Formats: sequence, structure tokens, C-alpha cells
Amino acid sequence: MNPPLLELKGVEVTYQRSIIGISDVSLSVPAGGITAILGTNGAGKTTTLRAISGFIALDSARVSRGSVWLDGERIDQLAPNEIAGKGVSIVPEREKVFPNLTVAENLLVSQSAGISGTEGLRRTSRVYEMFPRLAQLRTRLAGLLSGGERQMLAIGSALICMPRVLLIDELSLGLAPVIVEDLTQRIIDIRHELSISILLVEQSVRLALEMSDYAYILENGQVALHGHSASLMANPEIQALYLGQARPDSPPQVAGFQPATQGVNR
Amino acid sequence: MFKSLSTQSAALKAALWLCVIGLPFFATPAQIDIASQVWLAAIGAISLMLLTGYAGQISLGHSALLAAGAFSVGILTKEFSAPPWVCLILSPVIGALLGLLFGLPSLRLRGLYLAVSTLAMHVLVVYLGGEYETKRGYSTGIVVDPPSLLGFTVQTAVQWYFFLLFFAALAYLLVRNLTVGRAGRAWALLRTNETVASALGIRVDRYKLLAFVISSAMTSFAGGLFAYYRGFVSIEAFSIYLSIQYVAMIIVGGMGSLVGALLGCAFVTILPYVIEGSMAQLTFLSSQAGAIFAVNYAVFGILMIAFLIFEPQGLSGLIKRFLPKRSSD
Amino acid sequence: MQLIVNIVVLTSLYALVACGYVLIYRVSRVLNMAHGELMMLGAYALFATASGISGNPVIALLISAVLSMFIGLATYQVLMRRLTGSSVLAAVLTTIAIGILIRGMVVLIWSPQPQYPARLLGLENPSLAIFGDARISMLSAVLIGVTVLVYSGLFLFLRFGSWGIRLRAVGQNALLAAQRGINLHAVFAFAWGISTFTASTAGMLVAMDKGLDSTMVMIGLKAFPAALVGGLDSLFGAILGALIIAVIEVLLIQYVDPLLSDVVPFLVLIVMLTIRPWGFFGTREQLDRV
Repeated sequence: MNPPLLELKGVEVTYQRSIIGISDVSLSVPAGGITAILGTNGAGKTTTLRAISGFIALDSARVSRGSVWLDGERIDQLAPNEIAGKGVSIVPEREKVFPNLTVAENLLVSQSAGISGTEGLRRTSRVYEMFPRLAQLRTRLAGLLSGGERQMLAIGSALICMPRVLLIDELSLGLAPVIVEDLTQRIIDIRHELSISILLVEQSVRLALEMSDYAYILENGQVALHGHSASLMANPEIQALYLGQARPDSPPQVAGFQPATQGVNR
Repeated sequence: MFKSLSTQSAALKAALWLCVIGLPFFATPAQIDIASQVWLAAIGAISLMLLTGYAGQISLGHSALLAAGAFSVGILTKEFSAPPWVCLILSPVIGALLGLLFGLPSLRLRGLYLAVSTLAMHVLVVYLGGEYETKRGYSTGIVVDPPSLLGFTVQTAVQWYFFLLFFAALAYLLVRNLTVGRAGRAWALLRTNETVASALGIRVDRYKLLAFVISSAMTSFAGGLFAYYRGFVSIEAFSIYLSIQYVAMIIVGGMGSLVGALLGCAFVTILPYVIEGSMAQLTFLSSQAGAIFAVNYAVFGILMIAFLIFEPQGLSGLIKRFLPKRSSD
Repeated sequence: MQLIVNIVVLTSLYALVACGYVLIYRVSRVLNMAHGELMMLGAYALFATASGISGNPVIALLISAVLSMFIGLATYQVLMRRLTGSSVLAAVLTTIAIGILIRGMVVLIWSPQPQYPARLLGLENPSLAIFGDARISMLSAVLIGVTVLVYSGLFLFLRFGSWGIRLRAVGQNALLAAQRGINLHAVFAFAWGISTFTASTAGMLVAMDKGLDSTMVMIGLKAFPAALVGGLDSLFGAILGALIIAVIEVLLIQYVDPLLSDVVPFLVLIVMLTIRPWGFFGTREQLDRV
């Protein structure tokens, strides 16, 4: 494996001075790799991504312990715009585009102030090449886009900064399977074309393990288990808990997600 | 708040009460007057603390509410020869009505629209007060006689001291009891997270309005007392700066606590006298004597900014930090 | 006819001041209660420039305009910046404190006497006859022109300028804007700078037209209802709000009672808060009932 591009070492995030979001989370993303973070709602997946992409004062949240490293440089106490400047882009789970700006304006906003006009145009046309649908919707207000189009715009906006690390929070949430498939393929293509590293949070365990090389499973704000995606997929506990396959020695379970309270191999 | 049962705290409380009750017996008349002003201002400070510290709203309406209370007394006395007990009962009612009128539009809304609404209230009350004075020929103000209640007239400095202390203590107890009751719990939740409060079924707008109406009634009552204390009611006394002074009391004292309201109130009431005194001492500033109000403005502005930026918990927060830790906490 | 001229002049004045409230509110959701005082400070900057630096009207105005922008930038950078992170309550309280501080400083530095910068600059303010028997002072005509220029500039900038679009983005979602690399503090400071600049320009014109003293703050306060009626985050709304308030104010002063002049904008404000709190063109989501 390549040396890690992005590393979290024992990171703890505290909300409003007293609530702990995640604690002692360590993970690493190798250069050019796709890494997944899994877990149920509230396990701390989004918090982990936010710890990387940065908090603004309004969040009342901070990295209270540990550190986040990008290519050997520490980034955890920087402002989000500074972190973005270092090459980390995020596709958030919810508010991911500017609803009252057009698609073109959304892409414009993401371009850092320093780049020249021609470079900006070049990058924008690359995004339009990647997502031809967006080119057709250039003048449409982002708030009026469908879920899949919005996700495309969000990914395009994140890519325009030419990041080294792309964080994706819930790639598939709320999207039809066809669209998800399409997006998944593009993400994999992007990884090859632009040689960026990807860290993605996913509720769909199957999808995540299929897409990624390595995965971390979070539970109650801590890393419960991690390993190569292929071996995790083959792990019978994982299969039972997350992939809906019945344990041989237990009564039939409801297919799909099980809360992690039943315990996982450590 | 001194909730601990340690004897240290009880002894401190007893000592404080001794000083408070004993003050008129060893202070000069001027000092007694200042102390009386502190007790009068305390009612307004406590009512504002209820609103800001608990319901999380800014009000710039204290000046208007005080004016409304004072003018109620003036108008009722002059036009209807109403006895003091009637005036003192009606002035909080007027305040409550104003609170309802200007609270309803703004408190349904998330955010700080009460500040805006109370600004409107201020402008309106000032206009109405001025119109009354002009139309009824009281251009220099309305003179009000000392109040007689239950056959007892409140006239001397010492009498006023205890009279106002009584009402300040009453205000303190009233709000203290409110804040530990159901309303208080609703307000506390409201202040931290309106969305959560609403999701829990708390009628957020109703509780905000309740806080404002109670606060307004108390403040207008204080305005009524003010009319009798000064013996004189004039709209000039009620500028927006008066409202800002009350806001300063809360900021300096500490927004979330009753003790803070008292500390801030004492500080803000006494400070102008300190400024006046120092200006007389520092001869190079005496040329600015005519602009003493400007010095007050500047000092208050700096004070408020300093506390907001560096010490948001105010004086009560400062004190908490320097007190030894109690084992029961 | 004169009434219409008065309405247009008053509309321009309120609109020019109101856009400052809108700009700051739009990017940061802060109600800048010190706007009137900052406006007055800018006008005093003109007086100071005129008496100290240059007696030439054009140069003095230019210098003061730039000075006032710096005052706005500095107010954010030194004071308001430290509060980004605290509640909006604390921020608004701070603006109230800044306002009272400025009021005090102005009197201490320049005395409570009214000042007349126009005299210092040797500027005459002839009354021009237009449309028959209606008259308008030259400076009022300039005010109208400046308001049109400022609004056109702002509209173009926000629509098409890359920084204007970034400003709009911050107003829609500050966190996302930061994640996309926008320096929030820079945008906030910029909003404060432009806000003070536009209000001070209005203040300077009024100061030259009618004289300068602390009653100027009242103009700033009265422009706030104009911003709210139009919608606190809508520039176009500010123009409409200014017009509505100006019409009602001028008519009521003429036909009912001149003393109502200060009260009218606030009565309109209360009515608006009751029936349509987000104004005519404001974004609704921000204010919805809990």
C-alpha cells in the first residue's frame, strides 16, 4: 500500500464543550485509495468527515484531542477554507449546493480566488465533460435540481478545487439505484483519472465494501473494526449484521441493517 | 446562585443582609439615595434578566415600559385623582398590555425581532408621552405627590430605601420562583435549543410571550415607583440610552443569573456617579464637564464590549471563577 | 408635485442607508444596531477631513468615503470578528454597545454643537426648480443620483461579479461556502466595509444639506424598517420598503401631524411584522414560526 495521504490519530471531537462526538478515532487513507467509513446512524461517521474538513465557530464543535494530518502537515486546527486550500474537498450529506445560485454559479463559487480565468474555464468544462447533464442545466437554480443532479453538482463543485482528498458523505442516500450505480462508476473513474484519494461515508454497507479498498466500522463514536474491504465482506459476522445474511445458529433476522449493539469481532 | 448548604455561604448571606438592612443607619443621605436607586433599578434589571437570560431575547423596551408606568401614575393622578394603590396596580397592567401588543408580532418569529419591536415601542411611547405633555400643558413635566399607602406616606430617604428594597426583594423572589417552576424549565430549554423545545411539545411562542409580558409588567411597575420616587414625570428622562443602560446591567452582571442582575444593576447605577466624581478630580477633563453624558456613553460602550468579548458570563462569572470550589458541586 | 419630489428624495435616503442593513444581515444574519451611528461617524469623518485635510469638496468627499469604508472594515476586524461563533444575540448586543460608544466618542471629539461641512467646503446648495413649481435642493438631487449608482453597482456586482456571487453563497450557507474555500471573515469584513461606506455617503450628503449633529442617528434607525419591510436580505426589497415608508411618512406629515415623522416608519414595521415578517422579498425560511 502507498504511504498514507490523510491520517487521523486518536481524534476526539467535542460538541458544545461537553458532548463527545467521536473519540480516539484513528484511520488512514493511502494516496490514490478509496477508503470507506461505515456504521449506523449516530455512530460518528459524519463527525469524522467534519473533523477533517474543518469546523466553523458556529458549529460549537472542535477537535479536542488527537490530530489530523494531510501529507505530513497538520490540519486539524485550521479554518475550513484553509483546509480546502490545502486540497481537501467535501461533498456533504445534506446542504451540499447553494440553492439560490445557478449550476454555473455554484461551480464558480468553488473556484479558489487565485486561479486565472482561463484555468477556471478549463476546470469547469472538465466538470461538464464528466457530468454532461450539468452542462445542460447550467442556468438552472441548484435548488430546483433533482437529487441525482444535485449530487453531481456537489461532486463537481468539490472536484473543481482539484483536491488531493475527496470526502463524500452518503453518496447514495436518497438516490435511485440506477443513479447510484452511475455515480459509483464515475467516482471510480475519477479516482484513476485525477489520482485523488477518496474517503467515503456510506450507509449501504454492500456498496461501500464493493467500492472501497479498505473500510472502518464506527460504533458509538469509536472505531470498532477495520480491514480490507474484501475480507470484511467475507466476514460472517459482518454478513450477518450488515449484509442481511442469517447467522447459521440464530432465528431469521430482518434483512438489512442491524444495530451494532449485538457486538462485533474486535 | 448560593445553593450550597455550607455554613460559609449562610454566614455570607447573613452578613450581606445585615449590611443591606443596616445601610441607612450609617450612610449619608446622598448614599442612601444612590442605594435606593439601585433597588429601584434592580426591579428592571431582574425583569430584563428574565427575558434575556431565560427567554434569550434582547429588549430595547425598558425605557418605554418605565415611561409607560411613570406616565400611568402621572396621568391617573392628574386626570382622575386616583390614589396610589390604584396607580400602582394599574401601571403593571399597562406594561403587560404593551408587552402583549409588541410581543405578539415578534415573538412568534425565530431570531431577534423583539429588539426591533421594542424599538418601535420606544418610539411610539416617547411620541405619545410627548403629545400628552404638550396637549395638556405639562411641557416641563408632571408633578406627582409622595404616595400614601394604607395611611402611611413614603417620604423620607430612609422610608424610600426600605420601600424600594421591599419591592426589589419581591421581584427577586417572584422571578426566582418562576424560574424553578415549569415556566422556568421551559424557558431554559427554549434558550438552549428552540427546535428541541418545540419538538418536545413546548409552545415556544407562548412561553416567550409569557416571559415578555411578565417582564414588561414588572418594568412598568418599577416605572410607577419611579414616578413617586422622583415626584416628577417627564418624557425627557426616557431616552433609548436608558434602555441600553439596563442591557448593560445584564451584560456586566452576567446574563443567566439573578445574582448577576443585582451585581450589574449596582455597578451600572453607581458608575455614573464614579465617573462624575473622577471627572471633577481630573482637572484636564473638567473642560468636558458639559459633555458628561458623552463620557458616560463612551464608558458604557467600552464596558459592554469588553464584557461581551472577554467575559460573556459577566461579573457573576468572574466571581464564580475565583470562589473556592465547593465539594457539593 | 412637490410632494412627489419629497417622496423620491426621502426614498433615496432611506434606500441608501437601508442597503447597509441588508448587506450585513444577508451574509451574517446580524442586525447591525450601530448602523445609524456608523453613518454619523462617516459624516463626521467628512467634517474632520474638510476642516483638517482638504477644503476641496471632491477630494474631501473621496477621502472621507474611503475612510468610512475603513471604519466599517475595522469595526468588523477588531470587534465583530471576535464574536463570529458566539450567538447572534451576543453579536447584536455588541453592535448596540458599539453604537453607544460611537455616540459618546463623537461628542467628545467634536462637541455636541451642530457642524456644517458644506460651509467648510465652500459648497453652495442652490434650490433647483423642476417640473413647474416643485423645488429640490442640489444636494438632494445628488443623493438621488448616488442612490441609483450605488444600487446599480450592487446589483451588477452581486449578479455577475465573482466576489458578488461568493457573497451570495455565504449568505445562503456559510459552512458550505467555507468548505468551498471562501474566507468567511473576508466576506463579512467586506460587507461591513461596503455597508458603512454607503450609509456614510448618505450621511455626508445629509450633513452638507442640512447640517450635522447627533440627530442623524435617527435617520439610520428609521431606515431599518425600510429594510425589514422589503425583506432583510433583499436589496430590491430595500428600495420598495424605502418607497412605502417614504410615501406614508410624507403624506402623514403633510396631512396629519408633522411630529409623526419619527413614529411612522416603526408603525409600518409593526404592521409588517404582524402580517408578513419576512417582508416583501425576503427569504421566508429564516423566520418561520418555531
